[in-house]
Amino acid sequence: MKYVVLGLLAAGPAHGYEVRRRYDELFAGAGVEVNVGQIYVTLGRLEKDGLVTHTPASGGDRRDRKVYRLTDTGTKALREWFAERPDTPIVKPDVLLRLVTARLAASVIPGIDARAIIADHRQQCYEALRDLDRQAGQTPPGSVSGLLLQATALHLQAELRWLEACEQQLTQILPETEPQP
Amino acid sequence: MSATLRLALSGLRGRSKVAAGATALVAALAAAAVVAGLSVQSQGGPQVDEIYRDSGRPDLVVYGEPGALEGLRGDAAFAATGPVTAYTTGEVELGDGSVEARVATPPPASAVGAPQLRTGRWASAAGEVVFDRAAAVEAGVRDGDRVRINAAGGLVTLTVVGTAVDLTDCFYPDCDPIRLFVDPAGLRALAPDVADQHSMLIARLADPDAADAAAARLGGSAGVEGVQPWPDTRDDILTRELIFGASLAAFGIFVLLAAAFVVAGTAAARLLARRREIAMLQAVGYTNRQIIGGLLAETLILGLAGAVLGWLAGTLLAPFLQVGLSAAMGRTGLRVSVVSLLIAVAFVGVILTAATVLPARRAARQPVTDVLRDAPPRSAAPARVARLLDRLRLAPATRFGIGTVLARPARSALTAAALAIAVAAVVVAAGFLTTMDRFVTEPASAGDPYDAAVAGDGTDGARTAAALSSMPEVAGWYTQTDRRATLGEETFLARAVGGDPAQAGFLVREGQPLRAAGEALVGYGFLKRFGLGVGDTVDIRAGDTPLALKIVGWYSETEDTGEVLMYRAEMLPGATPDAFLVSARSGTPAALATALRERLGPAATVHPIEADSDELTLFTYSMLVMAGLVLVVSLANLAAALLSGARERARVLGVLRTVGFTVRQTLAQSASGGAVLGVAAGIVGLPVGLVLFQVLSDQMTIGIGAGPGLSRSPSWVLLVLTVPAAALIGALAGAAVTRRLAGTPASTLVRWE
Amino acid sequence: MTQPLLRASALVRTYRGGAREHAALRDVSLTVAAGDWVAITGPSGCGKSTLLHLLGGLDRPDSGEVWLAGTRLDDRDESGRALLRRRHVGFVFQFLNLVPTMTVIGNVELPLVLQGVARREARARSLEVLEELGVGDAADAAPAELSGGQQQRVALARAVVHRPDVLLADEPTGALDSASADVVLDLLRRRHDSGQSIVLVTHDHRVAAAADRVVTMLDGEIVDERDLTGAKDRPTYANLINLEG
Repeated sequence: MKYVVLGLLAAGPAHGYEVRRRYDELFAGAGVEVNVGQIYVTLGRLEKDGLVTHTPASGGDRRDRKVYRLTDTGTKALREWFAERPDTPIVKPDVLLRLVTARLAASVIPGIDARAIIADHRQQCYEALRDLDRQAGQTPPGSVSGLLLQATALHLQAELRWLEACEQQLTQILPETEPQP
Repeated sequence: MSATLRLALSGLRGRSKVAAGATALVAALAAAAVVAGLSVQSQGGPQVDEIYRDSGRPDLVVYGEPGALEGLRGDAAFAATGPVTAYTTGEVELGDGSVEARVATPPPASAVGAPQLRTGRWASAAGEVVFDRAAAVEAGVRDGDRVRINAAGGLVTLTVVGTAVDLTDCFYPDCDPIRLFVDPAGLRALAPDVADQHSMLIARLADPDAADAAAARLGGSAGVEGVQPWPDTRDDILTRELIFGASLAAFGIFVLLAAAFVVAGTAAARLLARRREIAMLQAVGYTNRQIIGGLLAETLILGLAGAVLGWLAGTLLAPFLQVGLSAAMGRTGLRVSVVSLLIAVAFVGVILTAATVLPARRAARQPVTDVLRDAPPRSAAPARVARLLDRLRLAPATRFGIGTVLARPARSALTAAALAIAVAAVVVAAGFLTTMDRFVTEPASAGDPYDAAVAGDGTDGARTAAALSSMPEVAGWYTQTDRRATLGEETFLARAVGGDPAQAGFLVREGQPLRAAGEALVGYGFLKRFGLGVGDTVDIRAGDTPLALKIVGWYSETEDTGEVLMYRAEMLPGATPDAFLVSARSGTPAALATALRERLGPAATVHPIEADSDELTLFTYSMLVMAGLVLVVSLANLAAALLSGARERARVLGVLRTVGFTVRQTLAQSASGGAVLGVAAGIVGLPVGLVLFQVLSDQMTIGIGAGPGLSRSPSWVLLVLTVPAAALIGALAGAAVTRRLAGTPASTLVRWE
Repeated sequence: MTQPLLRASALVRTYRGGAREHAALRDVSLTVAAGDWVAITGPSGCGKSTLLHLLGGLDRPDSGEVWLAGTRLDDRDESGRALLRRRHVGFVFQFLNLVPTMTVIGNVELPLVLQGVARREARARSLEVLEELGVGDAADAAPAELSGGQQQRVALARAVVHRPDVLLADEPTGALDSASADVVLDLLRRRHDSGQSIVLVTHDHRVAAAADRVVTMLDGEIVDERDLTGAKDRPTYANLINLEG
């Protein structure tokens, strides 16, 4: 979020609520809503690092009157961020961890149903996909939110496909796991 | 190995064995028919010529009084002559009836025109006879059999000690008399009275080509009764061979044409199935020319193999197909002709190339990217055809079936064309059969409008005439007296006709029947030979009698290929009839013959007219077999086309079944498609067949001398039924072919590769 | 209790290809009520297409029963099942649904014509459905002239024109690009909203997620069946998104 905020301020100085409004403009269509408090916390941290500064607006020291802007250091930081390579998408195979752990802990916690773990997770993914589809109906295509929704949907589909592979190879990866009759 | 050849071989490997076999088989059939036809046509001649040479080249046979013939032996035109030999005539019992025979003493074997002994030995005692080879084989007379002959000296039984071939006339059953040979004692026993003996002289000419001129000159000499030149005899001997061979070859061409359509159709379909392969080859770098070359080479390799096989089969078969000569002269040996192999290969090659080149070019021209993208093959204006069919409001199964046939217009047209050829072949064959039948049931069309013949020899002409006129079983009669006549330098058969020929029922085709002296009725062959027409006058010499005659009409005559002239017997004073020809009022010829024998007594020789059934049987069978072959080829192609069409559309059939087509509807759609092809084939094939039949049959009837216009079309019932029958056959073929597919579960159809 | 629309019990189907034997369905039971939307999913070769074919009577099981709209399906012969399909089933395949030698509208009116509906009425109803699905302009065209997405819409039209009890679809979006797939999915949703029962086979999880019930198959058996219309006390997808830098 830190760099997005920097970018939002690079577009022009703004106070906290304005930053939040701009943020929502981009991402709220994807159902990602941000708390204004989080914005202020981020702004505070950035200011501490010298990347932004604020000009007190008229009306005293109330935080909602502060108008933030990018410093030169901030601009430099942004430039350096672009020079970096983006993060590769992270894989967080929670289901796999649970399956493996279930087997490891079988003697202590018997009766964990591997199939059920997979099936439950699958249901979750499907339901999420349904929700996504509904949301996608309300989001204009070719927008930032639209792309974000697409990324999420594809991610869910990939997860579902992977769950299929999991299920197919279950007996090979966890030979002691008993399949549900 | 060249890229083209490699492509051809890979195509052959990938080909279904059945389809490849079918192409080769069809090529083989066509080649066999053509080769056999050519062979039959050509092998008779050399055989006859060989015997002609072996006999010392008998160019001319002269009949007459012994003194006159002796005098002629020194004639300048003769290079050599045999001795003047004596002969007598009689009736020999043969098979169910009897046949006229000429019994002679054979000259020494080295003499000109000496008969050639084929089996046994020459007669050395009075009770022995050497039999006519052709008659012996036809009637099953073997050495050691006893035969009865009724000659001037009465009824005599003789033992057959051998058979021989002689070239003084053509062979039984085309010609009579048959020739028998006895030793001098035997001849005396048969004709003790010298008055019953006649003489003949056989001569070799210095200039064989002038045989006709020599015959014309000698025919007018005193003491000469008749002259027969060898060229005429040779033509008579070979007529049947020529006609049969020609029709065999013609049907071979029919088969070849059908084969062309078959090959074109299957080529188009196979190339469609191999689109991807061809497109990939093009993508890899094969040029259009290489691809077309490869596809052509593949078909030609199959065709070549088939043509060679067919040539082999035709060559082996030809000796067995000899219709006339085999009896007389034994089967020819195998004649292996490289020329006919080359002809067969060239023929088949050209036809197959023509049939394959166009589809091959189309296949090579399709855009590579389209095919690799699995875009469907472009068909002509599918939407328009579909909309048109929609308007017809047909049942869904019929609609779909017809739609699929029309969706591949080229392939469907080719299939229908092959079937049309079959329809035409069947129509032609049926027409030939009907026409042949006419010749059999209407002897008048062959120039023989009578039921029984009474031999003129040895009977009192006036008494016989009176008896005939008084018999209630007799509807009418006429007499004939044959003379060798000349017009200018050429000879022909002239027939003096007495009694009431107009009543006899000669089939007068143009002009009017013979009524009065001074008139002449001629055969078509006569008009053609001398370039004359009805209304012309001719000056002929009949024997030594000059006659001026006006041609009043022409009639159907097959004797001497129609080169016969008839005139009133009054113009030939003093001549006795050779025969009395009698028509029955009712009943069979055999019944009339019996009645005549009763009335005229044992001295009279009576023959009922025989139908030439044997040779016609062979001819008709061959015709049926050939028409059947063409039909089988076309039907097989129809079945193959319908089946491959069904397989291509297996997936769509599955979809239709999913929507709710029943098994019966699946059959019905294929039947509809087949029926449409059948109707098209019938509509095209029927008129083509009729036209072809008219042309071919006229050729044939002119060829045998009876003149054009004699053909009888097949019955109108048959003609009317042709199109519906073709539709029915198409429908049955369609249904039969998709039976298995129709029963396949929808699930399988839908997943068809 | 009203009887279910489609009931399959203990279906077994084994394919014999020469020496090889492949058990496509081992013991599958499935019930579909009127108004249901069921998606059958699973890895390739799991038997989902086979199951769909048996449900539609395109094939017969080796053992087990299939009941459609109160009539037993599996004990009839090919033609008997075809006749039942005319009234009760609409089928959409992945591709090559249409008869290439007939016009679009000729294709669509086929189920009605087979039922004996008068030509004029059949044509009018077909045109209506085509327009509903957005391909009314293509009525007189040949199928080859249409894009893949349009062809699938026409296939869908043909599958619903006779108001069948159930619409069966085998990978209806499988051969389409995502834009066309969206359109078809949307049309399916609308049809379902008007009351059409749907059973579809898909390996596209987006399509499966659109259904009310997802049946997961593996190796010829059903391993899971989930109702997706449950209450929303679960976290939404927003948790999946991490925009933290």
